[in-house]
Amino acid sequence: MISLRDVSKEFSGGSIAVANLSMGINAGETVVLVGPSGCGKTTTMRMVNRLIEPTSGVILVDGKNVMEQDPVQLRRKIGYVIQSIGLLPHRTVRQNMITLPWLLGWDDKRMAARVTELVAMLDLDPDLLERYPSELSGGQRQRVGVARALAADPPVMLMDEPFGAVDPIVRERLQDQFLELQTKIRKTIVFVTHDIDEAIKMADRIVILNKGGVIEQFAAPEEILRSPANEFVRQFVGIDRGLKGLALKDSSNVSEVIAALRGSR
Amino acid sequence: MNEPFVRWDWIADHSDQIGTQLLEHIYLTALAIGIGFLIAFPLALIAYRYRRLYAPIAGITGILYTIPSLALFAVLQSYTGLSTTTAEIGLVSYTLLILIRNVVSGLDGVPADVREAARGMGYSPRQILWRVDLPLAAPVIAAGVRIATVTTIGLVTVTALIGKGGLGYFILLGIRGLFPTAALLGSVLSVALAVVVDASLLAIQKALTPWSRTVRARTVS
Repeated sequence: MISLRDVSKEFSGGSIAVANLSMGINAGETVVLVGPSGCGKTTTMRMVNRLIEPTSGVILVDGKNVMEQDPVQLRRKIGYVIQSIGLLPHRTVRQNMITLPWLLGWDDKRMAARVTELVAMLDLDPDLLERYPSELSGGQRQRVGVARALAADPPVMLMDEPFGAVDPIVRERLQDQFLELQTKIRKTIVFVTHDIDEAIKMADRIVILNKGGVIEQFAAPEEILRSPANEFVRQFVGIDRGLKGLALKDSSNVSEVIAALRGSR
Repeated sequence: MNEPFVRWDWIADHSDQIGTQLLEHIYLTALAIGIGFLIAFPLALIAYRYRRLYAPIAGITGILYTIPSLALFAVLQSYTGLSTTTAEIGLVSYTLLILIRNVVSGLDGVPADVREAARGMGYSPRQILWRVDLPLAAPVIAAGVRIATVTTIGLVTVTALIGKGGLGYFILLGIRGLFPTAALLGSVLSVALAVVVDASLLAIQKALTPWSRTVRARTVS
């Protein structure tokens, strides 16, 4: 669904954010990019919808080279959620949710129906629809942000620390809710986080990146925990990785394991 | 018999003329703000987009702003005569700095994450400007319009010297004829006009930007 071939990004100052990165992401799969700050994870994600343009290499989304598409049209086909959400403060929750359908010229009836669906999907309080974003709690804003990204039903979603701006309890709930939702909607998701626990929980596969956008390991969470590719990965997943790996072996429910680990610390 | 300080009978006798001068005052002000905005707005967008041009644009309009109004009208008069044009050139010049500065700082105040999210969702640059940046900058832009308007209402009285002046006509009449009633009438009405217009513009701005009201309500509570 998404394929990066030999992608590099050198910023105008000469700093290399990403060097010769290649990876493929299958349809319906959640791939989490994780790594220390400066590892180019956000840069990599932002190159997929051309918010940043690669210096070299090719990025294909659904088989089409992103550099050969109009960036505005390309972005409208890709859901986008950022940590600070960035809801339009001068639009109500309802208007925010239908931002993209509105840009795409849907008729009123279809947009109203979609709002009803999204409210149900994300378990939002319908009373919030006519409020402004400044009147919402952090968790509510986050869910509206996800709803907005899903509104036009894009096959691909880019999520940059989408649950980063809320407290741990709310974050956990949002993660669980999104995992459950994803089993139904099966989007192709590129998810960026600096939190390895979140990566393990959310990912079908994890990409562990090192400084300069070098891939240290690209594998399923279980495999990364059981057999880290090198010392960097070992360090990055942390000293309790053995425990995480053992627990994973006996349980298919990753969130339970994470919860147990949290409690044991 | 002592003449009273305020001759109400004179005011009553001249109510028609007061109305005419008041309308002229409003007209001169509205024209100056309208033309001023038409000039300032594109200049501000250019200054915002091409940051290097902000300093020269602000510099030139800043110099215009510092010219004493009496001197400006005296000089302009020898070119454009005793006309509305002369009055407006001066009045418009004084609005530019305020308007440009407020448009630019309004746009600067738009949260970066909102702009970033809009871009990421597929707003075109033009849509970002008109549907995100300008609506969010509107309260600051409106504040600039209010300051410029109040300033202009005061300045219009000076144009009485070149035969315009709106309510300034009465002030000048009062000074020249040592007739306090007229000077007082002109001054009080000019101040009252400024207060009423300022309050009206604020009310309009609040009606047009309902979201800023809820934000304020939250921060206060």
